[in-house]
Amino acid sequence: MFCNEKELIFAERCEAVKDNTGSIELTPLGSRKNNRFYLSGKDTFKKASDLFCIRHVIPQILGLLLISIALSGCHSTTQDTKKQQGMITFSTWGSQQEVDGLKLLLKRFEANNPDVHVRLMHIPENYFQKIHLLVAGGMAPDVMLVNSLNYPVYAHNGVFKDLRPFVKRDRLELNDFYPKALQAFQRPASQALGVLPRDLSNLVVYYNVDLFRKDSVSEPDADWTWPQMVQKAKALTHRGKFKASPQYGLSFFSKPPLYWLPFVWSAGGDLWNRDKGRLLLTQPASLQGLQFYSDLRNRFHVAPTRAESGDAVMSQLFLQQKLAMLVSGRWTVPVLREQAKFRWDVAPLPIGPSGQSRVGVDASGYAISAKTHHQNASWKLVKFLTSSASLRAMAQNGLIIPARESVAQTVFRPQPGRLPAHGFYFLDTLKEAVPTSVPTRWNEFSELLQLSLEPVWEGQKSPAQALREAKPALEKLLRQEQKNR
Amino acid sequence: MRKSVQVPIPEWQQREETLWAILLLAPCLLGLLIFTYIPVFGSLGLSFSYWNLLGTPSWVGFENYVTVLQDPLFWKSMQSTVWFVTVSGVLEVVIALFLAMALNRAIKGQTLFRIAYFLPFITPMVSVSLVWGWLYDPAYGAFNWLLQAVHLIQEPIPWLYNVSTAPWAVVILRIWKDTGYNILIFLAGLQTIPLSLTEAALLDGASAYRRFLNITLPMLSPTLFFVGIMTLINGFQAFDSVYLLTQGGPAHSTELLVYWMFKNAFEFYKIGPASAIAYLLFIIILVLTLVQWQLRKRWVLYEDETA
Repeated sequence: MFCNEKELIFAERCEAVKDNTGSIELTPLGSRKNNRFYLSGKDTFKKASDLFCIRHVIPQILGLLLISIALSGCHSTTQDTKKQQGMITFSTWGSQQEVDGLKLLLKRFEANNPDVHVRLMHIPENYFQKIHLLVAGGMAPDVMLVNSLNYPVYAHNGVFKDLRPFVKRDRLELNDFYPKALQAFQRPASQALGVLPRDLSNLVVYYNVDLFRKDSVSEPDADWTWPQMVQKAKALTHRGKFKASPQYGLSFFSKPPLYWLPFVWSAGGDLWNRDKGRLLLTQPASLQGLQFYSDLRNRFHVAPTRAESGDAVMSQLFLQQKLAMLVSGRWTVPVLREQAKFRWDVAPLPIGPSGQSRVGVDASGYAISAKTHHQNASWKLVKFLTSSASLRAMAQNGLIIPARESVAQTVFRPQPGRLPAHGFYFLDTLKEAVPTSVPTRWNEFSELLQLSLEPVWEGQKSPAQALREAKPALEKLLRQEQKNR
Repeated sequence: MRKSVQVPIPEWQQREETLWAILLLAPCLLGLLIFTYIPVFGSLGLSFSYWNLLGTPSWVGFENYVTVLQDPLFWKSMQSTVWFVTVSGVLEVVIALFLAMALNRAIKGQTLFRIAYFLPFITPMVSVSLVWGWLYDPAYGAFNWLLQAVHLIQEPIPWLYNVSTAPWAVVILRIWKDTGYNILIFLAGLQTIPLSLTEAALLDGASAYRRFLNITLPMLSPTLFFVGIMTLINGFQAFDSVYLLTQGGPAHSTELLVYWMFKNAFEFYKIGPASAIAYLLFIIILVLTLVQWQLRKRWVLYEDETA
């Protein structure tokens, strides 16, 4: 028989050999003695090697290589001279519609600045993962869209140019920008400004007016409280077993801290103190907020459990009218305007035990890479993108709360027939909103919090118990943060 | 059987053949060098340094290893991984062997079955995971619908969202995906078993069970060994299924080592600890393979030894 090889991988080959031996002259491959493979038709092999004698071919191969290198070299130099003035790369996240809108703006920019050419790098998913690797590889885009949650780690490592000299040179008026937006991008120690803000984002409650009417529930207003939220949500939740599709009162997000933080703040708690030295999340007020958020799902049963919502995204459930209230940010507006087949409106998050309703405010904006070779062109683009006209264009379809107060005021002026009717709540909640205090190791904190609070949201642990267990790890991260300064 | 006869080759020709070999291998070797060997040694260095990909790496000695080994999450991942490798490994091999023996008989539609079992293996994991994510869905997934239709369960099972079911969901997906490959290897192995042995056993009146135990299994042991090692290594390296299906959750229950390493490197940007995990994993796989290699001497039977 054929298969006397001791190599394992030859199991497959043996079969091939067995099938073919009759017709084709093949001896088993890989004899163990000399580790060389032979075809039994050795003559043909010899001829082939004579034909392509390596000593004859080497010069040709080298020549070919040289020519191709030379050609590619010429190619790139001609291109360089053509667009030397400023071929800048600009990275952004966002949906296709958002990018389509952006492309129109960029066209206008290039028309005004014929010497600058912008290459748009659209990164729809895992944006910061990709940016991080580009920065690490020394290929950071010249202009980058950045948000306040991811800003500190890059600013701390000197990835962005300080924009203050440019602002000063061009006498750019920063007063029009919301101070909270600028604050999010200012380094506490050096006061360096790494980003010119594009937008602010906070959370509100979207609600389905039709469902509220159907269940005879009064619509929320600016003064509603936690108990009222529970009461309304209870009246809006129908879980009848034989009912075609269940309806839930309120959305529930268990992953990013973003969604439970407002309840911690409105209870008077916080993640940590101002200089990020002391953990506050384990304090009674914070625990009360966490407990209430967990109760929404596990005690009052007004929010769907993971098993109930399954793969469906909350905004999908809201669109399908299976969810009466959705906690979300401004970015949901364009989708609802386009697809919602019902009347909807927004309200601020309810007032908590602290007597206030406080949400976080995050911001995003444009930064210039510290390593750019085209700083003036890049600055021109940043200035253009954060101008009143550009921000108005971007805010038109409802996607963002523009970072310029003057633009925000005009965009959010109530217009008859334009949803949401109470859109100004977006601006109102900004007044009480606090910028999330973000450490440079935000990703690690976020993961650790997600992981330790997961049993809480599943109703298996109390917040106090979960955080007691997570406390050492959280405090260790805070200590590392202090060392990092 | 023919044996190749070695004809002495002149030295110049041998040298030229070597040159040719190097030249033709160069593109492949270059790729290996740039994308495998250099990173392998680079990450060894990085496992002893602090680096977040942005600044310059600084030497910290064994700190990363100490941190990783003290991290309860690392041990949790290790536990999940060992469970995963054991359960999916055993099931994959046993099921594949069983199916291969079934497919080795002359049954109707043999080719069709072989294709059907092999198809999952060549289907890209991304699309597979996406579809399986839907199949597992508690609200409208096909599995729950089916189980409820035949009254096996009352309430839908939240496959991917429950600590006790999520690891099984991943294992089931892996079995479905990888069994076809193992079947193929087993089939090749089964077909090399000489019919004469089985015939002799039949004449002696050996039962099917005896024939399996005393002929098939020993004759198949080299293949079994190969499949075993490959399944073990693949199990330790499993990444895509959890990355796409569960992202390590719920509650860390499907956080396999390679995924945990990936998270450390590309979500927390802790390259040092991530490299340390990579090397710890390397050591584990190396030790297990060496152990298997040693055991092979006792378990694996080669045909020429029977003669």
